[in-house]
Amino acid sequence: MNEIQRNHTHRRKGPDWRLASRLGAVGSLAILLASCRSNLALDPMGPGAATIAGHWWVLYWTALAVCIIVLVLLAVAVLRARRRSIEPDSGSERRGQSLVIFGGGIVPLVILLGTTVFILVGLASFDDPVDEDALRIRITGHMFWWQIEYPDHGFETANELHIPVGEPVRIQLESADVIHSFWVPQLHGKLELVPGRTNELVIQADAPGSYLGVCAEFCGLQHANMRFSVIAQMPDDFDGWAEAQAEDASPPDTALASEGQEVFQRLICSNCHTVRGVSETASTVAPDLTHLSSRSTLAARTIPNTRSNLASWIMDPQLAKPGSNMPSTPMSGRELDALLEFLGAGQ
Amino acid sequence: MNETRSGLPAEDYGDFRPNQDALRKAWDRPPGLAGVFMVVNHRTVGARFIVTGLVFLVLGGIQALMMRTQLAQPELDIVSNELFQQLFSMHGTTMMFLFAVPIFEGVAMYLLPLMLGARDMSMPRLSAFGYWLYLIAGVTLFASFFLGVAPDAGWFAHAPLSSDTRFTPSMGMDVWATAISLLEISALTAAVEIVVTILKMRAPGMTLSRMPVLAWAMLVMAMMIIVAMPAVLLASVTIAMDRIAGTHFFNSAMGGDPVLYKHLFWFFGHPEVYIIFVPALGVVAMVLMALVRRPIIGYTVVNMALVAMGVLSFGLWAHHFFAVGMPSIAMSFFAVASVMVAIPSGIHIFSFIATTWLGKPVFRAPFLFLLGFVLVFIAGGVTGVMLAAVPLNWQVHDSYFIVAHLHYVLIGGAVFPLFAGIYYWFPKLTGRMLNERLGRWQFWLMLIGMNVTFFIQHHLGLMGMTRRIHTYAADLGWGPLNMISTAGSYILALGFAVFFWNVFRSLRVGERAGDDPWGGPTLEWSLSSPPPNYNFLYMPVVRSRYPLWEPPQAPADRDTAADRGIRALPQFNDERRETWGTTIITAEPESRVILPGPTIWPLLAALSVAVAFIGMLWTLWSVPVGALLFYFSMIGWHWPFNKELAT
Amino acid sequence: MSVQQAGSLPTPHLKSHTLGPKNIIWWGMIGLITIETVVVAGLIGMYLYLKMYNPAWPPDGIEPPGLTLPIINTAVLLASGVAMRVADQGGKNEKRSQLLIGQGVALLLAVTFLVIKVIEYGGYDYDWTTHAYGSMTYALTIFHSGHVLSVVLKGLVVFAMAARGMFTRERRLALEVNGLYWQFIVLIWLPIFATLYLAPYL
Repeated sequence: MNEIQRNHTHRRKGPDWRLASRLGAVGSLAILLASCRSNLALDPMGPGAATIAGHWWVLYWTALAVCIIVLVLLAVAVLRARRRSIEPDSGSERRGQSLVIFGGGIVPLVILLGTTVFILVGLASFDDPVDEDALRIRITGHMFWWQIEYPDHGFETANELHIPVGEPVRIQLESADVIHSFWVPQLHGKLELVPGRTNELVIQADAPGSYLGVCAEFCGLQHANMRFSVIAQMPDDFDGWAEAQAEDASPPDTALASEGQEVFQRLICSNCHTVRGVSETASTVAPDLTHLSSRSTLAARTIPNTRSNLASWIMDPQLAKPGSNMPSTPMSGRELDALLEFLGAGQ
Repeated sequence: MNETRSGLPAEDYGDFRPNQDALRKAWDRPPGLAGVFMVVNHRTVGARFIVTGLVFLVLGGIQALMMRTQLAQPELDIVSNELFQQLFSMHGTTMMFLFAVPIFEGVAMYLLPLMLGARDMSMPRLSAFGYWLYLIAGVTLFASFFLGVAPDAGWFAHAPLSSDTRFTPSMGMDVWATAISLLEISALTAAVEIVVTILKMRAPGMTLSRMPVLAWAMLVMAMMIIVAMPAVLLASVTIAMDRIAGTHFFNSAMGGDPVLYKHLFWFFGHPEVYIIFVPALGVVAMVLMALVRRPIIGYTVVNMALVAMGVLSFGLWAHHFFAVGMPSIAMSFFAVASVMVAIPSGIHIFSFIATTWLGKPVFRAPFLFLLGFVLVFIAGGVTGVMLAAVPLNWQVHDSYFIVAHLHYVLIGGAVFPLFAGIYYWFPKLTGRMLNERLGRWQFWLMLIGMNVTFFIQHHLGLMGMTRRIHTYAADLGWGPLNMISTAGSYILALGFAVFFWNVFRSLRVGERAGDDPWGGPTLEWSLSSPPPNYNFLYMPVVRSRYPLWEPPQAPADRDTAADRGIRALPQFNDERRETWGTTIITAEPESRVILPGPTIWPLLAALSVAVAFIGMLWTLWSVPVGALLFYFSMIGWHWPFNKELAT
Repeated sequence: MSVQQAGSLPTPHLKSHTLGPKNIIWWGMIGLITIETVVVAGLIGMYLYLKMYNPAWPPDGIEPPGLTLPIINTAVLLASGVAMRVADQGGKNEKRSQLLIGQGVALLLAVTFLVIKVIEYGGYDYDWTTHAYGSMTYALTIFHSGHVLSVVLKGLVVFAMAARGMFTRERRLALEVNGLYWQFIVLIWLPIFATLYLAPYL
C-alpha cells in the first residue's frame, strides 16, 4: 500500500467547512461588489453610460450564477467523493463523460450563444447614425493636457470641456504625440486618440454637473495627472459660457497687467501659450490661456485654480508635475504678481 | 525491479540486460565548471529553466509589492513616477516573458522524456542554447533595472510612445526590444524541440491516444509558440529599428501607423496567455488523476479542447484594443470569438468536476492548489466573457478591472496549477517531499491574499481608476480600497515566502520520497527519485494510456508496436546516448536517435546571438559581428568531429 | 513474448542514421522553415496593412519599382534552386562531380542574386528612413537577402564537406537539410516578389 493509501486513513477532518467557507467568501464578496455605488461607471449620467451599465448588470448576474453553479458542483463532487466507498463502475464513467460534454460543452454553448446575441445587439445599438447638426468639439491629446477646440464657435480652451445638457455632442479625437484615451466613466465608454487618425465619440449628459474625465492609455511620466472635467450645463448656461469664451481676452487694463503682458512675452511664455487677442502664437505645444480664470482647475485637473496654486504652478511646474513639458522659469516676486494680474487670476 | 515497471513484467525481457555501467558513463555529466557550461541533459537544463523562472517570479513579485506600496494611499511619494514606470514595465515583462513561459518550458523539458519513455529531449544542445539566451536576456533586463534604465513604456510597449525616442529617450525601450528578441528566439527553439520530441520520440506503443494529457498540452503550447512568437519578434525588432535606424513603421507623420503595432503585438499577446494556460491545464490533468486516484474523465474531449483553445486563441487579439476606434464589423467578429473560446475551458472545468466526483480525492497540498485553480480561474474566466461585451469593454478597458481580470486568470489559471505541479513533482526532482503543513499555509495565504488584492480592483476599475498611474488624487475616494488591495498583496507575498522557505527546508530535511509517493499513472513514477542520468535502464514500451495503473495485458495480441520495440531492444548501443525514434501516430519503433553529449557550442552560440542583439544598444555594427560569430559557432556545433556519429 | 523469441516474429531494424521524416534534425529544419514562413507572412501582412492605410503607396515622390531587374533576379534565384536540386540528386546517387558542380553553380547564382539586388537598390533614391514605404520594402528585402547570404555562407561549409567526401548515400543529412532550406529561400521569394513588385501596381 503506497503512501497515499496509508494517508487516506489519517486524513484531516473537515473539507466540508473548507468548501463552505470558500463559497461563503466568494458569495459575500460578490454581494459587496453589487452593493457598491461609488462606481462611476455604474452611476451613469448619460445615455451611453446608462446603456452600458445595463449591459453590466445582465452580464454580472449571469456570470455570478455561472460561478455559483460551478462552485456548488465542485463542492458536491468533493464531498460525495469523500463519502463513497465503492469503486466506480463503467456506467458512472459514461455519466461522467456526459457531464463533461453537457455541462462543459453544450450548456456553456447555449449560454454563450445567448451572450453573443446580447453583445452583438448591444454593440449595434451604438451604431446609430449621428446627428449632423450636433455640436462638434475637436480634442487633441498632448502629453499631458487636452487641447479642446470649438470649431463652430471659433475658440479654443484646455482641460475643461463644457457641453450642453440633453444633447448629443460629437467629439473628434486626435493626438499630437502618443496614443491617449478619452474616458468619462459617467457618460460613456472610452475612445483612444491615435496619432494619424481622427476618432469620433458621441457623448451626452442628461443632468448638469461636473464629471471626471481621465486619460486611460499610458502616455508617459504624467499619465496619472492627465485628467479633465466635463461640465454639463443647461443649454442657456452653455450658450452663455461659449459666447464668453469666444470673445478675445480683454487687453490689460491696469499698469500691473500691462507689466504682466510684458513679462509674459519677455520670459517667452508667449512662444508656447496663446492669449487670444493679446498675444498669439502658432505653436500648439501648450494650452491656450485665454480666459484662464474661468477654469476651475489647472494642470489637467490636478490642482484647483486658485491664485496661490497658479503662482506655484508657474514658478515650478516640474515640482507639481515632473515630466510635464512646461519648464520651470525663475522670476522675481514682482514679475510673478504682474503675470498673475495679466492672466486675470482672482485673489 | 523498478526500471521495468512500465506495465511490463521483468521476465518479458528474457535474459536481455542493458549495460548499466556503459549507460552511466555515456550519460554522465562532466565535473566542475566545464560541466556547468557544457551540460545538455534535459533534466539539468529543464531544472535550470524552472529554478531561474522562480527567481524571476520573486523579482517580479518584489516589483509588484513596491507598486502596491506606492498606491496604498493617495499622493504618496515612496516611488517616483520615473521609477514607477520602470516597475510596471519590468513587472509585466518579468512575469510574462521571464517567468510564465520559461517555467512551463522547463516543466516540459524535465518531464516529457520521463513521461514519454525517452532518455532525453530531441535536441539537447538546442535546449541548452535556449536556456543561455533566456538567462542572458533576463540578466540584461535586470541589469538595466538596477542601473535605472529599465524599460519604461509598459511590457506591451505600445507605439509611438515606445518607438519614438523623443517620447522615451532613455535606453530602456532599446533594452526591452533587445531582451524580448532574445527571449523569443529562446522560446521558438524550445518550441520546435518540444514538438519534435513529442511526435518522434515516444516509447513504442504510446500511440497519440495513449499520450499523457500533459504531452498533448505541451504539443499545443509549442505549436502556438511557433505561430505566435514571430509576431512579437517582428514587433520588437521594428520598435528597435524605429528607435535606432530611423524607420517609420509606427510614425504616423511618415506613413506608419501606431495601430499596426497593436495588431502585431496582440496577435502574439493573446495566444501568449493561452501559451501559459494550456500547459497549466496539462499539469492540472496529471496531478488531478493521481490525487483523486482515477483516470481523467473525457480524455478525448479534453485534448480536443486543448487543440481548440490553441486554434481559437488566434482569432481574438483585437479584443485587447476595442477602444482604439475599429469598425463595428471587426469588433463583432472578435467579440464572438472571445466569447466562444470559453467553451474549451468549460470542458476542462467539468472534466475536473466529473473526475473528482468519481474519484477518491486525497486532500494533500497538490489537490488544494488544484481546488484553488478552479476557484480563482472561474472568476477570471467569467469576467473575461464579460469583457467580450464590446460596449462594456469600452468602459473598463485600461482600468483596474482589467488588472483584476488578468491576475485572476493568470494566478488562478497558471500559478495555482504550477504549485500543484511543483508539490507533485518535487519528490521526483529532488527525492524529498515538500512539507505538507507549510504547503497548506502557503495555499491559504495565497488564496486569501490573492482575492483580497485583486477582487477589490474590479471595483476600482469601475470607479474610474486607470492602469499604470503612479498615484491618484485624494478627492477621488480611491484610497480605502487601494489600502485593502495593498494589504492583500502583502498576504500574497507571504504565501510565496512560505513556499520558498518550504523548498529550502525540504531540500535539507524533507521527508524522503520513494519512486512513487503519489501512486501516479505515468512512466516517470517508475523511476527512482531523482532518476539516474540515463532515465530508463530498460527502454520502456507502453501498452496503455496509464502504464503504471493498468496491469500488463495477457498475451492476447503479442505483435504490437510495443512487442516490436522489445524485440528491437538489443540493437541499442549503451555506450553512446541513444533513445527511441518512433512514428508519429502509432509510435512504431523505427530508429535509434543518437543524442549529443556535453558540449560548449550552445553557450558560444548563445553568446554570439547576445553580442548581435545587446550590442545594438550601442552600434548597429554589432549585428554583422554577432552574426559572424554565430556562423562560426554553428560550424563548431555541427561539424562532425566524431566520424562515427557523423550523419 | 520475450526478447529471445524474436526469431519467429518481425523485428524492426532501428537505423541510427536516418534521412527525411524519420530524422529528428530534418523535422527541426521543417520547424525553422515554419517559423520563418510565419515571419514572412507577418512582414507581408505589415506591408499590405500599411498599403491600405496610406492613400498613396508608394507615396508621392517615389516611383513604383521597375520590374526588369527583379524578374531577372527571380530567374537567377530559381535557377539556383534547380542547381541545388541537381546537386542533391548527385548526393543521393553518390555522384561526387554532380554534387560539387551543382552546389558550385547554385552558390554562384545565389551570389549573383545578391549582386543584382545591390545594383537594383543602388538605383533607388530612397531608403528605409524615407517613409513607411521605404521602411517596409527595405525590411522585406533585407530580411530575404540576409537569408540568401546566410544560406550562401552555410552552403560554403556544406560544399567543403562534400569536397572532402564526407557524404554517402545513407549519410548525407547535411545535404538534405541544406537542400530543404535552400528551396525554402528560393520559394519564399515568390510571395515576397509579388508583394514588393506587383502590389504597388494594384
